[in-house]
Amino acid sequence: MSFLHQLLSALHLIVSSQEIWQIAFLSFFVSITAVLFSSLVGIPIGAILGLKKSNENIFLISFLNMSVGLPPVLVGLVVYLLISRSGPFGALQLLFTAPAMVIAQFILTLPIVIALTRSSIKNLPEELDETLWSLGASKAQRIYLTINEARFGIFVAMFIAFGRAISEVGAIMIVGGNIRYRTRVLTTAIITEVSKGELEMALALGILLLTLSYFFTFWLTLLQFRSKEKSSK
Amino acid sequence: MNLGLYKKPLIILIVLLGAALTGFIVISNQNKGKTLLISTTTSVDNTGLLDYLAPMFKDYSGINLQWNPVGSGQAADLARKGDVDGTLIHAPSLEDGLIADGICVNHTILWYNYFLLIGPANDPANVSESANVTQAFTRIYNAGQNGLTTFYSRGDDSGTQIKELYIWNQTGLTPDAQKDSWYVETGAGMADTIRTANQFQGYTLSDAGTFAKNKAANSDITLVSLFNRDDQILYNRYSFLPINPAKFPSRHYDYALKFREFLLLQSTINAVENYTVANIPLFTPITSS
Repeated sequence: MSFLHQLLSALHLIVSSQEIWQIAFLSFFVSITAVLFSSLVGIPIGAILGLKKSNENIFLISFLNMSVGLPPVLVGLVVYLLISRSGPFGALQLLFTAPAMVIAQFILTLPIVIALTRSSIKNLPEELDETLWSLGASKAQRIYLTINEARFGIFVAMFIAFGRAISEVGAIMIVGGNIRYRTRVLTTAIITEVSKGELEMALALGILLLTLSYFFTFWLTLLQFRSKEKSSK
Repeated sequence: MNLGLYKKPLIILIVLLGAALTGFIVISNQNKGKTLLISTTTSVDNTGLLDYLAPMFKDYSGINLQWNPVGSGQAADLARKGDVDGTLIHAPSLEDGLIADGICVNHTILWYNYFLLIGPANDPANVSESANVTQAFTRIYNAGQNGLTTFYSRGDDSGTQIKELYIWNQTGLTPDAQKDSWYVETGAGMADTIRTANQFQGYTLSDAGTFAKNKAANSDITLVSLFNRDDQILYNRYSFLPINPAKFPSRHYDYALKFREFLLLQSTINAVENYTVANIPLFTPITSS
């Protein structure tokens, strides 16, 4: 009972704290931007791989499938070594900034977008591309129209990529540094509260993270439903 | 090329990229102004001391204090790579290394407290009756070998673990996490290690601040401080080390020096001395530096 009471007061504290809303804004900004960029790069690559009917490179595809499960801490460590002052890109001064966190989550989500776009395009009827080809569509038009046909599956790719990014803690902890007022995000704030022993606060932050994720995913799902309706008209 | 086909996605794309760019500008503007970035140990961060000092430092110098809370080993490594302007840690051997290797200058010893040996209230190894902490560790070793208790080590190269290994070294005993089932390396921060030790009702070495904070915040923690006498071996000192400007000219050595100056002000010393967690004073300033 007292735990519930403490949890409620922590929730109240959260919604009335400006700092927490800044932390939540940064979390969503970083993850959405990372997924935006990985979609921009990954959807066309996935489409090109998905349209390939023969001569698929087993090494490339199995590497891609392995990369779907890249360990966030490992990605964080590699990005850290690259952008550290002593690293090859140190002069850019990216370490412990929002762009550094976007880069790490971009690397984490890119394989997911590519692999799932590829598989949803593979699932389209084969006649589709043949028809486009026989109608004299250019390569770019074929890719674009195929992506458009597979958009329901590509939305799923983006949900999963976003879910991966927003829930991830290992990479942003290392490259972001969990610096208060600057690079602290919801997941690293939960870690900080747990290490302070403020478990109710940590749980309340988790509830906020899930609630906001739900609203965002609800909006994306709405878009997905609408795109389905349009195609059936 | 038929642009009409691509018109709608192009507009959406431009809007999204514009929003992302605006976001980056908003975020980078938030961090404008002078900023000193230091690395520090989680044990300092968990006490809230820097949250308490940062506004005072801002008033004094106009510089924002930001810190990256990690273990002492990683905090020193961030300095080594030139990723911070200074470091505030509690591991004398690491500090000496930073100075010897020319990474940091102006080694400034600030405050001290004592590590605590914490464990279950029934004290199966009978450490509270020990004459000194070396004897207390020997008793834990013997009790552990007889299957009476367990000990939890950080296992993460933190200042606390360095101290723990030093004490084992003094006893002449070498517990082995692989061979001795009673000696466990958690590989985690202090708070997690306290929770693990609490779960299995074993012993661990903790800094005073993290233990006080966790005990106050979490009623599940039933471990108690069993040995907290002013044994010189348990002495735990905190130092600030600005980065060497000759080594990393692009870092803010001037801001780090300003912070050093601020830490040595009489008013800051008084503020640190009066800082408490759960009514327990945590840091005693060393005024004679």
